[in-house]
Amino acid sequence: MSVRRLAVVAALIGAASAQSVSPTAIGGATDDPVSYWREVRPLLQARCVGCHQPAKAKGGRVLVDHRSLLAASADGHAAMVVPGQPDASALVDSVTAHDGLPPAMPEKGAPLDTAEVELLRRWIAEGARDDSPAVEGPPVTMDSPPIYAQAPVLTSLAWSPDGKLLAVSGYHEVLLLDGVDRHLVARLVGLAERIESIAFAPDSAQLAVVGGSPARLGEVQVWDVATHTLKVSATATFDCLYGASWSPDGRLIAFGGGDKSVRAIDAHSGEQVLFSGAHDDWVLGTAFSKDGTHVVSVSRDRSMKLIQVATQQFIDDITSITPGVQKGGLMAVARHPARDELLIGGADGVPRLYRMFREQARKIGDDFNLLRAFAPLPGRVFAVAFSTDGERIAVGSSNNGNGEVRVFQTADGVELCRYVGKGGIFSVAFAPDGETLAAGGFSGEVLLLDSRSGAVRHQFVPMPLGPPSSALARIDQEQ
Amino acid sequence: MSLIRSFAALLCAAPAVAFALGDGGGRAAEILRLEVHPAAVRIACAADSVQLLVTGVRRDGLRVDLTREAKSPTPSTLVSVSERGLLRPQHDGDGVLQLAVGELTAEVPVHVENVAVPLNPSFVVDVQPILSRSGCSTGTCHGSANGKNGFKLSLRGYDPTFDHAALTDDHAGRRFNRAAPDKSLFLLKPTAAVPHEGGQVVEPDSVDYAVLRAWVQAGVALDLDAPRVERIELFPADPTVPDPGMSQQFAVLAHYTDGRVRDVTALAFVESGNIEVAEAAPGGLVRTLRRGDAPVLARFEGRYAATRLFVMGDRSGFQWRPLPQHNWIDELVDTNLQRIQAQPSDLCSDAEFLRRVHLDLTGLPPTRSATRTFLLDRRNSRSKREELIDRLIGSPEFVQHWTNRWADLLQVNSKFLGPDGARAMHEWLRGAVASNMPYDELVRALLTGSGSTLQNPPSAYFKVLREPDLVMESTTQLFLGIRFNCNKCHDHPFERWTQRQHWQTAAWFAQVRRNDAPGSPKMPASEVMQAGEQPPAFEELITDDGALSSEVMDPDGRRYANVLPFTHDGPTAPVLTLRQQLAQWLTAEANPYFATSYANRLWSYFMGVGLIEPVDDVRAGNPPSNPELLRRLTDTLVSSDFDVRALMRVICQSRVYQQSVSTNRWNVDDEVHFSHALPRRLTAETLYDAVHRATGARPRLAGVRRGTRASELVDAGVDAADGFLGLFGRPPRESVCECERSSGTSLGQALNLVNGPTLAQAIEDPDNDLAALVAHETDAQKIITELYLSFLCRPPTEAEIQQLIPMFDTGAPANAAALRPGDRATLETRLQAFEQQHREPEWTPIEVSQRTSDGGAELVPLPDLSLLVTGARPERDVTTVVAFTDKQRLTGIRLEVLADDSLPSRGPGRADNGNFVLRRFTVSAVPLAEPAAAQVLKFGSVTSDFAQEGFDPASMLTDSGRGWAVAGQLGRSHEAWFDCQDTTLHAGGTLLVFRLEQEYGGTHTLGRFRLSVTDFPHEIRHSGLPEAVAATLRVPPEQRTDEQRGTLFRHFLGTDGELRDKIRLGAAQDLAWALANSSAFLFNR
Repeated sequence: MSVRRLAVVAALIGAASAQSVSPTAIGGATDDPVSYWREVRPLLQARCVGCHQPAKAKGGRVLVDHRSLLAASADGHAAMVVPGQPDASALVDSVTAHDGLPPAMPEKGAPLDTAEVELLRRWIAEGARDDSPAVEGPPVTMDSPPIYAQAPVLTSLAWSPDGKLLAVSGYHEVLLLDGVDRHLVARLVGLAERIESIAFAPDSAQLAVVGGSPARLGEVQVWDVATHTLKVSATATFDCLYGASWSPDGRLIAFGGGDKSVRAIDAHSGEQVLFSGAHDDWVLGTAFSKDGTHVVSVSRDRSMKLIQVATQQFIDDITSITPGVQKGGLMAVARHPARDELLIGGADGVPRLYRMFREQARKIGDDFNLLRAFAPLPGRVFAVAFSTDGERIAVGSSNNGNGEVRVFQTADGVELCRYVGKGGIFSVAFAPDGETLAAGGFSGEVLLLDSRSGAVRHQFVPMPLGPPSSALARIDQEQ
Repeated sequence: MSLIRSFAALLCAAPAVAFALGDGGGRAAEILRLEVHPAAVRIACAADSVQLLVTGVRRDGLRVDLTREAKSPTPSTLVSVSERGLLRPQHDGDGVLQLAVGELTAEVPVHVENVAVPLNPSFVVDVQPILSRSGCSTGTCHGSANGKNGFKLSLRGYDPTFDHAALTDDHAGRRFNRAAPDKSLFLLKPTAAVPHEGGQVVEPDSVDYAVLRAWVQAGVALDLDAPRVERIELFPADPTVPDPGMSQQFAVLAHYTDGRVRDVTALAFVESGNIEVAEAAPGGLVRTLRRGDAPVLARFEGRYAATRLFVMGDRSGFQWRPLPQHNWIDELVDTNLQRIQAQPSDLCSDAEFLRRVHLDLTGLPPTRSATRTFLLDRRNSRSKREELIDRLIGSPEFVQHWTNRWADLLQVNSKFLGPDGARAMHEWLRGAVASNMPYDELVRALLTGSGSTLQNPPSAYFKVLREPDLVMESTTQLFLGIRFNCNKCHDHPFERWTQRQHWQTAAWFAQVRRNDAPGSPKMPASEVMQAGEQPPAFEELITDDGALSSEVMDPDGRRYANVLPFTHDGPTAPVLTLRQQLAQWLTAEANPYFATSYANRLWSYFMGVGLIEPVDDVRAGNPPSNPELLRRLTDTLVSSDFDVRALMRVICQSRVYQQSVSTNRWNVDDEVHFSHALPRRLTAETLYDAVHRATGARPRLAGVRRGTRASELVDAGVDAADGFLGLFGRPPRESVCECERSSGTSLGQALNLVNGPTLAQAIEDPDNDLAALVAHETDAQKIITELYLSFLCRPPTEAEIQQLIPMFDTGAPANAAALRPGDRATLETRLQAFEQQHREPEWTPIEVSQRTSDGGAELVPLPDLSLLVTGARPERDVTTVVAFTDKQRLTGIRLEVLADDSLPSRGPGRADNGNFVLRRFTVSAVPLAEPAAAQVLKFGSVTSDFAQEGFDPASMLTDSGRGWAVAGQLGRSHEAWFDCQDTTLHAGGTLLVFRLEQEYGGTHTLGRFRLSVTDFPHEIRHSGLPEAVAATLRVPPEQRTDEQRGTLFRHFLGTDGELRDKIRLGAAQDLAWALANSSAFLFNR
């Protein structure tokens, strides 16, 4: 009711009109300079950055941080903000009405009100200073790992090929557990908040980790397993990366992205060596052919595509391209250890085995490469894995809060055993010895199952839990 | 602004007992007291809020929302009060919130508890409403069929299981973060802390944020067994807002299945159903824009409540003027009009009523004779109107018209039924209408019809509608006025109906079996059939098969058994089949939708707009404009055992039905409260039939007997050659929706009416009434009157007659120019012949060399080669004139007798009155080379432009004649032409000797004359044309003035009766075109 009350006061003291009093004045005129961090940044976030963000820089403009405001645009336009000169700043110009025409921005939604425009003007007039609190590297570090009040969702786990380690996703970190006694060996803390996929190099010496911070950043990390040191941190796209896989020679790491891309980097240098834009939706899984010449990718667009590594060229749709044959997006892929055969799973709950290379020309309507469809799991399949000898497959699914793991015989599709429990299963991995099957998901716990019977041998939270203080609490307060 | 200013002014003024709010127009109304809703505030959770409504009661009885004006002089420690009057808890405790507006105060007790108790939100009860309120799950954002940017929610959150999976399961729980709740994408996105194209939809410091965050922190549980919202309430009910520009705050209460009542104003949607009158702002505030009604709909978690807001506007000077009330309809409409301060229009004229009631009851305008009879009937207007209503209801045309209406709704279409089937269904409907079959009986017959679709036509209802869900959707829309097609794929977005109910209701038709009748051939495959589907036979047998599953399956394979979508306390009797049970339930008097929807439909047929509109979209968010009236209409229908004619009669008898379309200052803006009649465009069939009735032409529709009216057509596939019926919105009969019939206007229609073949054929039909009328009636006024009676069902006004009469003036070139092209060509040919025939010779005046007057007069040559006779004025005279000519050929001689001011009475003779008598006229030709060969010329004929009776010019050639004279047209020039029968003259020149004998006596001698000769190679015969015409003909056509052309036309057409009739017929036809294109004809007014 403050506007009204002010108007009453204005009328009483004979001021002209309530409309002429700007709402800024109501807040109480203050001599404090305008804060970028507390005032300008939230305003831009609320009204501008939906369209002017790295993932979608409309008009070539990015307004997400102070640096981008003061920098010239990629296509050579002057900076949005010229410190000290509001009238020369494109930011002010674009939100100001001219000649009776409404402001050019925001293109969608109501214009900024006069107080908001005035705020921007004042900030620029006062020098457009950046008062963002100093950020010293990632909020959590190797020395200051996260402390958890609750276990985060477990998105990925992987056995080292030598069976010595089990790597498990955490928040901002990968936890290395001893493959035998499960004790915590190391915590590999990195930039990415979410770890989407973990993969050991064939020689067990390196670990690829892909993930990122949702809607902001994608990162691929390469760790030296023995020394627990980060060798490579490469960023790509503006959202999480998915589905890491190593080339058989251990030189390349392939992964997918929310920008519909399939990429691969040199594991040593971090340089991108492959890019494919053949998909129409997020790419969630990758796998190399046995000889490393090709990489396959699965996507929410319901297809599995074959890409040649040397030329980066799209070669073939491995799955059927007939509309309606694939019922839902694909979320996971694994290659047979000894053959170029691919196991995929996705939203329709049906694990399917495909041959990688076509042996006869495509005919419209065929699904020629399909070798076998296994019995469907309830809900969506998030994870697929082969046993080391390729004789068996394991599939994990999530359905309305419940999870299942089923083990099938690869050759004939016979179900060997299953596990059913609370919480969706998002990752499965056979231990190299073939006896143990690791699984995890919504609950955040690691399940170690008897791969022959499905019985639970061990069930535990992989990270230490404590009161929500220190690191995580600190992150939260930054919001 | 004005509101604020006067408020401020009052604060300055001396203390007053009451508080005034002005409207800027100087019309202040005192506020007597404040009312506060709710009476007591109770808040039991930190996340809850309560919307206050502070209402001022004015001296004039109106109530005004003061929620945003109210302030609390001593701020409460228990609750905070927002600008919009939303209370949020601060501290636990009990207390009183004081409110004041000006000098007026009010108090409301407040109880707050559990403020410090940590939130433990429910996904279903707390989280989903926030997602809905924030717009996340709308059809334009993540609720769209494909979601947005990879994130999809169910439309408006109707499917909590799906939404929960999207938030917690997609991409391995990408959207929430249990380890660091504030890092959940689910929180970062709506607050735009990370880039979000949808912008900031949740504020970081808000209660909503706290709820969402607490839910993540507590482990993102899904609680499907949580209490659900049972119903919602909207406050205030039916508010009247005094002035446009004022706002009205609403409050929404939700009642949960566990008995909890929660104020959900902050989370519910409150929307305006008429954005021209009021627009909704977030938070349940509705801003008014102009006078009128707006339905206000509240929506929360799949539950709906509605009310009507009325904006009064400036009514200063309004004084209710009561009009006679014919029956209860008028009472109920008047009550409502008095409330909204609208003055009904007076009764329409008898002529307007006559046409209106004919069109509404029979789909045809009255005939000319019916119009004449009714208008000449001197009895009391009301009794003759009622007598007319009684006569029309049940008449053959009535039966035809209402049969046609039913055939539309039941899709009587040979595409679905085959020609025989369509005919059988049509015939059955005609019987039902003719016998006034009670409405419920008719519906039951349709819903339970069994056996052969040809022998028992109502069973064909199930031939047209072939799938349980389609039968169900059509049945509910048709007979209950509710649309179950929206909730086929998701819960109904504007109503409480769920997807489950769609299939459960459909299941009542699961056991209907359709078998080909033995020996009946297969129908052709239709475009509506699925690939591979076999078409049915023309004749089918409809049965109920108890062995068939009573369940239906949705496209996802879920099965549903038959369950009614709602129950009522109507009787249940032991019945055999599912269909019979459903029919009994549906047609029961206690079914709140059944009679209501039909009463509303009937009302709309007569008034042009339903009490609920669209008429087949009855739902909470679409409240009736006059609920009491709808209730009474429904009761009347039910208590008469569904006698449809009885209800029609009551409606037609009401004053409301008989009101004029003309408006007054107080009802000009009303379109929904029936304060005046609404003009309605004639429907396709009625328009077609009206054109033919007005012109008297026999309809010619393709493929049916000539003369069949459009409303008599059995099959929707038949149309006029130009597609007239389709163009004017005749329903294709492919669905049960009333919206199939289009009553709009379009450019195509306008062009068709201006020059389309249907009107052209009807108007130009040689056998129509226009031709007959023009053939036997020459009086233009009478023709105009008959045309007005035919087309507009009223006589023309005097002004109209005077304006139109010139159209029938056959002499006017404009009218001749308006002849049809064929007749124009005829006119031109004949006119050319006329001109040819009347072409004038080229006359050469002779130069006189000798002249003598036997009587001693003097002949004076004038410069124009005429001779003026002066001097002696003998009683009689013989004048001789000699002239030379070198012409070889002589075909005619002209004698002009000329008027002259020097003559008595201007001549042309020398008698006192200006007359002359020329007894004899002879000419001798004397060849100069051979004078002996002189000869007297022989004349074939003599003609003149004028002759006195008994003094014919031809008599100059006879021995016994009296000669030529011109009494009667004295003082003017005249001429006589002598045809010389093609005389050949000698070469070398000839002397012509003219002898003019004037022996009558009494100085009847010539006064001034001139002689001319010609060798024109045609008969020399004077046309006798009036001089003006003759003068025109002398002017080359391209040099004639408009006036000269008009003179020529008028003269020529006077000689051609056939073309004259054509012009009059053309005028009548043009008038018919104009009348057919007038809104008085195209609209039922």
